Amino acid sequence: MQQTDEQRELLASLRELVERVLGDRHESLCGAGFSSETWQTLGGELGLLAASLPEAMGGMAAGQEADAILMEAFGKHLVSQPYLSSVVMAAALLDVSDDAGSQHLAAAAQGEAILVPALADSPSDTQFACVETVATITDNEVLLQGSKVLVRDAPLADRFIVLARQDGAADCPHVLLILDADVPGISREDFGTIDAATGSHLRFDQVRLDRSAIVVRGSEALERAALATDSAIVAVCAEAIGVMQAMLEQTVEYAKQRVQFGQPIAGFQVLQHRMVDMSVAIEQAESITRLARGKLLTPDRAKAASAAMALVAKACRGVAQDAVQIHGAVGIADETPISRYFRRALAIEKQFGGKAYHLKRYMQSADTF
Amino acid sequence: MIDIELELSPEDSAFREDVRAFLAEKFTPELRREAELQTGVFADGALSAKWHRILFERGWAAPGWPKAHGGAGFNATQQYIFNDECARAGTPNLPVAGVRLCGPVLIEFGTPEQKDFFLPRILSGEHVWCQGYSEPQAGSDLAALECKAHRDGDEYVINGQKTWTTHAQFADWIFVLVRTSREGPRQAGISFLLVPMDAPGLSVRPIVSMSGEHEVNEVFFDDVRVPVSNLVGEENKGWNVAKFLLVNERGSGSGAAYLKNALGMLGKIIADDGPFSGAACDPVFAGRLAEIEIEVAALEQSEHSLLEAITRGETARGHTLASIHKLHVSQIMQAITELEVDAIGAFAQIDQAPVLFGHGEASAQVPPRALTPVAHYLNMRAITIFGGSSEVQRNILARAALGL
Repeated sequence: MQQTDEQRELLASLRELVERVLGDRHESLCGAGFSSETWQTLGGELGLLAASLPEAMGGMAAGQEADAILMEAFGKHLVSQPYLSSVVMAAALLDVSDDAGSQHLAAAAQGEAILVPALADSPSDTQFACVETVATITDNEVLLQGSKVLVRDAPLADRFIVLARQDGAADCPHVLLILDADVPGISREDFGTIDAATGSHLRFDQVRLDRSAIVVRGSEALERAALATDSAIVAVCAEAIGVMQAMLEQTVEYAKQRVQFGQPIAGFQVLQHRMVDMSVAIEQAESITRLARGKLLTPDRAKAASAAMALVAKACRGVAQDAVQIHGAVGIADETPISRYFRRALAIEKQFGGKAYHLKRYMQSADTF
Repeated sequence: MIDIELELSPEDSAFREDVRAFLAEKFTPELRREAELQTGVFADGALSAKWHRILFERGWAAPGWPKAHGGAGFNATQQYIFNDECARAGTPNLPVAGVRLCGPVLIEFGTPEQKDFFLPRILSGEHVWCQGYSEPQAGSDLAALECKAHRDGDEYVINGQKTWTTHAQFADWIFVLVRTSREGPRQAGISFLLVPMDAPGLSVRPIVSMSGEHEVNEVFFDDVRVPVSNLVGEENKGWNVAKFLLVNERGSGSGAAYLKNALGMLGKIIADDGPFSGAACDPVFAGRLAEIEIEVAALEQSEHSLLEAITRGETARGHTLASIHKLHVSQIMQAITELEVDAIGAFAQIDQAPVLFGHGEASAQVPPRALTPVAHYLNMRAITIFGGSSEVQRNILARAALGL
């Protein structure tokens, strides 16, 4: 996707601004959990969270390129923020052209409300084939019953966006609902994640909702869930690149300072080549991610997203392992930043299905010779 | 495969149609059959000469040269399109010594007389060239070269040896790096000379590769005399010329097309209706193939991004990307040839060299698609070694990209 000079300038200034904001706060943010104050600053004061959204919603209309810039910066500074849930996925799930949808998104983009999608019932159901959470829709209300396992960011949520099956509907039975997180009948079992984020297992027990909770019904609901997931995959690949670049940079820096056998270990060819291989893997990951970003709104979307995730997952594992190895024993200490990046890299690998899953999905959607 | 379209201007789109029409007409089924039997790094001498001639007649023998020197004068995008379309069609992989290596060196460093004499003959195919860089004791450490030349009146007298010289047996000329001084740093005593292969005292000994193919040679110089007018650049400044050439050798900018052509051949080997279709159904094999396809897609995207940057006038990362691409292309190519060998299973044991290189008869018991994989695999072990080994590329990147 070729950009005009104007778009390139806009993106460059966005990149610069994000880098300045996060760079200034690096020490306090790196590897720490969610910071409500930072979220408010990024959203309200600076308007950065809206960069990908249409101008009518206070955004820059910079789409997935803006998502990529923000995610890469979050990765580089190891910032744990619910951007993937509340902006990237929410924008694909909600309809920006209708009033309710755009109000929810505008609130999310200003950092006022955090939207958290809860789509599959279980993380292994990546294609939403086994959604058993049931929405019984009557003339005046919606009754929600079911559970969602492993919903990242759920403890932060002001609202959930839930994929459910409509009771009694045979064809295209899915429905997307948006509901306040504190509606009676919702219970959460919270946990921390290895990468300083949080998540929950959710239960919906006789949750009564107004019919205005319905976002969309039928095949469109499923299609939006799939688009949201692929958008998130491509965005998390961009975050992975930031994570890997930071790991490489810190590793090179460390190798230049660490003296053993009377010289900096950066002088040893075996380590030089290992660091080069890290950078080569990152270059490859960047290219495939750029490719997938360009394919997000085309029929090749799923194939390209899986190609990217498969290659990025492989790169994440290799780069992270090499980074810790070159840091030596220091690399396995919790207090060393590299160990926190290592855990984020592992979580990224697993967040939307790992390398093997995406390789299979690529093959299933790939043309054969 | 994921199809990645390059966004083209109307002129470049029209150009691509021209190239496609040309290939549809001139790359005949006979030529395709011959090209499919090639297993070397480059197409053999006869096929290369035939295809070069066809390109020459169309004015496209030298895609990268400026028009003023008889080249096609393609811009960067057009060169990419041309290489891409040729590789998609599966045209012979032409030797690089003349058009891609010596030509650009002469255009950059040559005297007017050298340009006038050599460039038209490289273009027409009258002169086939080979490259005299490596020596037995100077491979990756090129500056250690010892083949020497001393001035004797208006002549240089050359003594020593070159090795791994591709297609020396077909060549009319060789360009050689020679030692003309032992003073100062090793790099400061090297010169770049042009030598006719029929010069008295020059002899060629074949080196047969482990595939059974004769692609490379040793070249010996025993008091070989050439006029001083055959010096390119200044005496003892040949290292600059050598480095200029190596950068051209590394970056062709269309490695993805080259690999997609190889994947196309692999596709034919494991085709549904053929004897080796079982490989494609094996999940382990299919998984390896999918990983390779994804890496090729990443490379293609990287090449497109570089091309767009070059078109915008940015060249900042071009140099390091050339090394990164060489690493990727060579590793992926080797992985493809491994799949070729694995696809044909036990048939890999049968020596096909007599059929491929000795005009022998193919056995009716051997499926035709089993002829090439092993030779291709064996020959492609060289791709991570020549043109700067993978280790040398990593040394370059350690310095240039990581500042180590």
